[in-house]
Amino acid sequence: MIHELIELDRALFEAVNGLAGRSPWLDGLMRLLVNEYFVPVSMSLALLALWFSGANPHLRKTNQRAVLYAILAQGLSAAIVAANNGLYFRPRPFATLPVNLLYYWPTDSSFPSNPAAMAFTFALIIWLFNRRAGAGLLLLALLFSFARVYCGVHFPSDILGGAMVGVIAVLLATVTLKGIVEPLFRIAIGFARSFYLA
Amino acid sequence: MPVELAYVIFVTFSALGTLQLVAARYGLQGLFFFPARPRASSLAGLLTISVSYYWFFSSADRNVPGLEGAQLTFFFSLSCLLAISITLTIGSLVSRQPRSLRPPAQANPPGPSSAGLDALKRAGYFQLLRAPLRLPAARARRLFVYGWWNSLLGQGGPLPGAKEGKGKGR
Repeated sequence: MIHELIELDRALFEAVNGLAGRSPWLDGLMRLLVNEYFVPVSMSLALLALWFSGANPHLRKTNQRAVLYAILAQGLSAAIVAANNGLYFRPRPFATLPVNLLYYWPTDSSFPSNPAAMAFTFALIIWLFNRRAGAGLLLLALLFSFARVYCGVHFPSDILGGAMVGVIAVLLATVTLKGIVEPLFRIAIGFARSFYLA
Repeated sequence: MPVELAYVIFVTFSALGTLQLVAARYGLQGLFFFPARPRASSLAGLLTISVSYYWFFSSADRNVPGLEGAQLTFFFSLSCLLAISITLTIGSLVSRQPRSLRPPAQANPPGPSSAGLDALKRAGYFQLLRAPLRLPAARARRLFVYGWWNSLLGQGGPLPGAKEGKGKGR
């Protein structure tokens, strides 16, 4: 069973990565999406916009809670990935297979995908509070993940692992830690509000 | 140019553009770079974001080892704070009215209905911060110049802290 899953993972990787090098336009788009800047900055700017968004104070407060939860969940997600990397190392696809590499050679563990964990954490937590913004971010997370496989730096299972880390981080932030952080977030928003910043 | 500096410039300008777009969408006039022109603010926001993205990704190959996760977080936060500070400062400067046209400090005190970001719909950030500071000074002036002095002389002037009617000019 595990052997079959590994084979499926490899076949999926080869199918997606095999698209690289065929269309300069698609390669250019994927090279734009794959790096540490384009999608992470766009998602973080969406959080900045969300902080100031809302037609009324109630909606705005919901958005601001979403932003604070997203920051918390992002910290948890990074901690989970770091802890996993200390215990388990999976080589990158280019280290074991012939690939069309459109990116540099990262040296950290391939599993779970840290960029996918970051992107899915942001997207899922925002989706819980604001469906429209969350759907947009989810689309961006999917594109980012696809680009990571397309450019040869992750297996599809790494992306799945990253998405799972995102789900765990979101659950930890919004369920397990809710009782502790919710009053703190209320105070933080109230404080910012008294200075006309929330 | 070092990647750190390029990243800070890119994020700062993108955040400036984002803030202009949001301000235009929700009528936060205190954040506008173009007072009372939401369309101009939207256009300026879109243009700033597009130019900063284009400049950052065309000025160098970004698919090479660069900033680490913690550095990205630090520089992003720094750039956002910078962009917010610039927006609040420019928004306050451009929304300043000549002294002769300004309403008295007591005329529009920040009330609970316009607390928080909603207050930026009608005034610049630093005007809002200054309003509570100006209120005691104005009241003190009234107290000593008109009220207290008159009441001491028994001339029936307004009592200290007495309501003079909202919206009435000094």
